Amino acid sequence: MNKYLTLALPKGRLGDSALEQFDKIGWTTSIQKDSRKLVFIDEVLRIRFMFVKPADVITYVENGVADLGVIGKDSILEEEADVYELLDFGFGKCKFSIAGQKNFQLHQKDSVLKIATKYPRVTLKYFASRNQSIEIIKLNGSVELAPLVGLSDVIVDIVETGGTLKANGLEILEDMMDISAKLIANRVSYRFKHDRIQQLIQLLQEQKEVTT
Amino acid sequence: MQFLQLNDELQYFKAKYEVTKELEQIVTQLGYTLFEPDFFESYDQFVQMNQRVKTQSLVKLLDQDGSILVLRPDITTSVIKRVIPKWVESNTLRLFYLSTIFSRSSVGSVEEKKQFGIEHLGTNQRIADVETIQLIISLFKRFNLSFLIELSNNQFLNALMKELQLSFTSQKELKEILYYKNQAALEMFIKQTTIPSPFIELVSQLLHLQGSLVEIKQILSRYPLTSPMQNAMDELEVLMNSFSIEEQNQSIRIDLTVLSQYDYYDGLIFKAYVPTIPVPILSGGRYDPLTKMVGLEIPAIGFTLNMSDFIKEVIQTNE
Repeated sequence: MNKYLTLALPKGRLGDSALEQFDKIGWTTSIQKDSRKLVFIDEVLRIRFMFVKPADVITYVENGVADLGVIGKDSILEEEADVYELLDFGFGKCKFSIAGQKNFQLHQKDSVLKIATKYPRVTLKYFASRNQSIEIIKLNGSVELAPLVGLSDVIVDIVETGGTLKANGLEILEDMMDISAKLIANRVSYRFKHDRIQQLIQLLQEQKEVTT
Repeated sequence: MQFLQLNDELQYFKAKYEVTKELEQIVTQLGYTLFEPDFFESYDQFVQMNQRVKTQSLVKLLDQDGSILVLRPDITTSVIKRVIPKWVESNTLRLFYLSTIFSRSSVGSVEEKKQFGIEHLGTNQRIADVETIQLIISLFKRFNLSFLIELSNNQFLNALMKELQLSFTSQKELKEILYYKNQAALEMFIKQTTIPSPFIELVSQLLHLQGSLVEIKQILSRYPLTSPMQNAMDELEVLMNSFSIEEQNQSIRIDLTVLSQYDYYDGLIFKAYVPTIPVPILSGGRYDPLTKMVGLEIPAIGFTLNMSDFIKEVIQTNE
């Protein structure tokens, strides 16, 4: 039987921060930092790291190919992922915000608010909860451009420092919710590998307490 | 399942036939009789009996007279609706079924799922609970599958929820936190919500109330329990004591925060998992309140097994 504990880490900044945490608990001896390999296996600790595109972490975990994964809350919300959220890493902190040109009124009596976003589901849900009718324009990047060229009235996006917004003459009109990096688990793996997962959470938590 | 070669497909049918025959044999030997559910249900009646069901996932049809029908989305409702009105007092019934249910996927296509299941009606709760879990264990063992059963008595959580006197939205929020096992959000919830002081500590420990009976009892011994909560635990203990130590350790995990999709479950609820299928392969529980809705409250428990996943797992294990 498959006794490895398999973790899916996102390539890029979020994954690097996650690796730092795993490094501190001594779990990364199998990983060669500059290698282009996608899978690293630690035969001693019986763990396997997989490096995947951030957008695919949830897919790997939901299908049980990876037992655990590290991913931002934004992706969990947008994918409506049916996974356990076991730990808040405390890094990758940012916010879901509505941004637009200065003093733009979000509530308008006679027109439907046009919103450009990479996160249509999160946006729909948020505005549905306050009964405001909106029109969504799905974009894949450079969302900040949309209000400048008249594609949309406002945008919904994740905001870390607000630098990109400022540089494009936009500002935050409303904060929607906080997000950060999470440790997620497949529901079936969680049952079958409960002790090992619990042990990992404890190690990571102790590490977190030492540093804060 | 998709096959490229006819031969593979026929092989699969053969395996499926044999597994099905075997399952039928096991349950008929225990006194279960076959039940054939209706294909169609009245939309209005179904929605009334299953208020939390996602109506967009039902496959709807229009009858001649303009009334809306649904292609059966679930079998328990169909069984209860047909059996309870003809119920004879002090009767007991053991039924099994092998049928297809239909649902509409998020992209709009109609999906069919083959289900095998049992409904056990009229038998004293304690006896039927034990018998049902035993039956599940024997089904998995018969095919040499490794498996885990996750079970709870949801009266514990319901009783606790009542004590917390939460508003409707807070209750929903707490249930969602528990569903995702989100400890960070739980701590935040405790800070932001007024929770009666005797229960604050217990609520913060909720996600740890899982594992073996001994472990859970040890945690609970530190907190004050109301009598409905204690009763729920006692019932669980009686149930667990009817299994061998080996079964308890290898096949059963208690998780007091398991939540079910249907409101009508009251008492024992459970799910079963096998390692290679990423979703529960079997689920069920006690649903006496559902029988009350159609006129007469009797003890009732049942489970459904996802047949295509089960056959896949059997073929893989015995290859």
